[in-house]
Amino acid sequence: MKKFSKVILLGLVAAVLMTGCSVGKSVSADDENKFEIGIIQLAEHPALDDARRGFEDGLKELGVDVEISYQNAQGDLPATKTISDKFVKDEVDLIYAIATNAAQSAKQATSEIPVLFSAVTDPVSAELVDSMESPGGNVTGTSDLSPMDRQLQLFKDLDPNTKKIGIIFNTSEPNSQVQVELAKKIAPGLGLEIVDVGISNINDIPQALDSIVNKVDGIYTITDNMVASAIGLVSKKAIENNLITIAGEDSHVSSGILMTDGISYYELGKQTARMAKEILVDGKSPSDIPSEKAINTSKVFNEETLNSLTIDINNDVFKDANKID
Amino acid sequence: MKLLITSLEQGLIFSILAMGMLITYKILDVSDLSVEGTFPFGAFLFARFISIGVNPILSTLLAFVFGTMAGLLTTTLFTKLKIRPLLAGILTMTILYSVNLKINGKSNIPLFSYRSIYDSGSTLLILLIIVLVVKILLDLFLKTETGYLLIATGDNEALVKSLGENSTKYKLIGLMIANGLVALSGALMAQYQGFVDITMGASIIVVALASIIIGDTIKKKSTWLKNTTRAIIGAIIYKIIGGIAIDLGLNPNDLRAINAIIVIVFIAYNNAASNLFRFKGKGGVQNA
Repeated sequence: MKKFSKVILLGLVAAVLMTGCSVGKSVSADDENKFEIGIIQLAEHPALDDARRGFEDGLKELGVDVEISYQNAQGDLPATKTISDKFVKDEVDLIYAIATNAAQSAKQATSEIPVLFSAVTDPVSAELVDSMESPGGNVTGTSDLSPMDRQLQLFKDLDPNTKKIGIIFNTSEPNSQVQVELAKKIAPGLGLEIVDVGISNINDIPQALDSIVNKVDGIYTITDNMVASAIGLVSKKAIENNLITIAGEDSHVSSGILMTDGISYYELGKQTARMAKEILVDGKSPSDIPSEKAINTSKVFNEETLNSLTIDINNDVFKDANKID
Repeated sequence: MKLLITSLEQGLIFSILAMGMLITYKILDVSDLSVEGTFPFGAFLFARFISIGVNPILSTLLAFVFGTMAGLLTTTLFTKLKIRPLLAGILTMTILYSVNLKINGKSNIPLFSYRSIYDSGSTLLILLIIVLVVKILLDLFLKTETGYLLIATGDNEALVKSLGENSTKYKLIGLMIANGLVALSGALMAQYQGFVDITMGASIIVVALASIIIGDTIKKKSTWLKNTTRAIIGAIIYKIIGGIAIDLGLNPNDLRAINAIIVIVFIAYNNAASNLFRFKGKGGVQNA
């Protein structure tokens, strides 16, 4: 028995020494032009995955030679710290952090290695940057704040009689609070009223939906991680109750929401890749690169939902819109 | 090496959480699930105090003090309202979720612009000192009359009552200290990671219980290794294992499963080792 515990102890010590001594993957001479990028993603879901893929594809398109190390924290906050510290230890050339908590951990871990963030709705209140125009530090990136005014307008374009819009949001997500408040600010100007329901658990979504379907004329889905995970359910309930749904981003539309005039996380990732090139290849400092909102927005709609809601496709709204696959 | 230090630092922060859990889970034999709410409670409290200008050390202490209130709530629920302790803890956790959001009005509070308790020196050293102080104070407390009665309440409540003591009073003290420690751990974590977030408490009970169980497997027979020391070592080992899993660059999707598997391996070893020991003893008697 004593021998067994000795073996375990030895095994543990060996493992620790092995990892401790794998001192920063030193880039060998012939790899000098390859940049090492550490990607830290907060959790798994389509929007964040798109932001990552867009970034990787964008770098390829720009001809930047990179070696990528990807780590997903699976929503575990202490893990974001460990992953960030690992990248610092590995002396990567750039850290790409997807989502607010990941970016905050990266910022905490280093003030020297450039950090690019994406899928952060409000970088200023998350204190990632001093301001969008002058980030002032080693952190900059792209915000996923969507053109909400254009999106809410779509409700009126589709049905001028629309008055009340329902929004479900996760009270645990600071970005969602920001969006709900923004919606409430914009809505009156468009002749709309927001009815919001906050939830803290994904299991609350069916009840939250049931509570508002009779009170509203349409549902607006914000870029909220929890809502994104249950978007199929939201669109199903909306169709059952003949409610128009407008999304804050296009991955919602793929899952059944009627349409959006919004950002694509994939394109946002590519936008961030451009910033990465400026830092790695052009030698710019992150503090000189203003943080950006999504440059391109596109109108996409879901044909199946359109038919289920029996909406007229000849409506002007769909003129410059694309069907989503 | 840096990764080892990070894991050690996180292990030390969670060891305070584990020591708190030790009091309720091991000593009092009460399953207090409110930790998931108390941990961020400490963090949000710290954020509130530091944002109104209180210095970091005092803010951290205040987080401990107010954290004890969570223990008061849970105890009140199961003594005055006769709600089962397990459910009482869950109810406290649920209430704390809303309370946490109310304290600062936001679910995520960055702390980058504030001072922290780690500013005055090496983070590792400061954490070591804090953990040692907590451990020594806790050990001393458990040796006092109140401490002994607390341990007795967990072992044999009927005995305590027969001595004419109010066992509920000791449960209350135990739960308050435990929750205070959990909140303290939360405040330390907040300063360590640089921000407070409402999701900080998720799965924290796994960390706490795993730390205690892992700590139990170390030299099971030796009695000189106090249970507080075990909790500390257990938390550190658990975090180091997690750090190794991340550093090995394993498939990110498997990270959580791997953490869980490692805990299972330790528990299995724990059980196998104790069975082996019993078997050896029996053999001796039968052969005689």
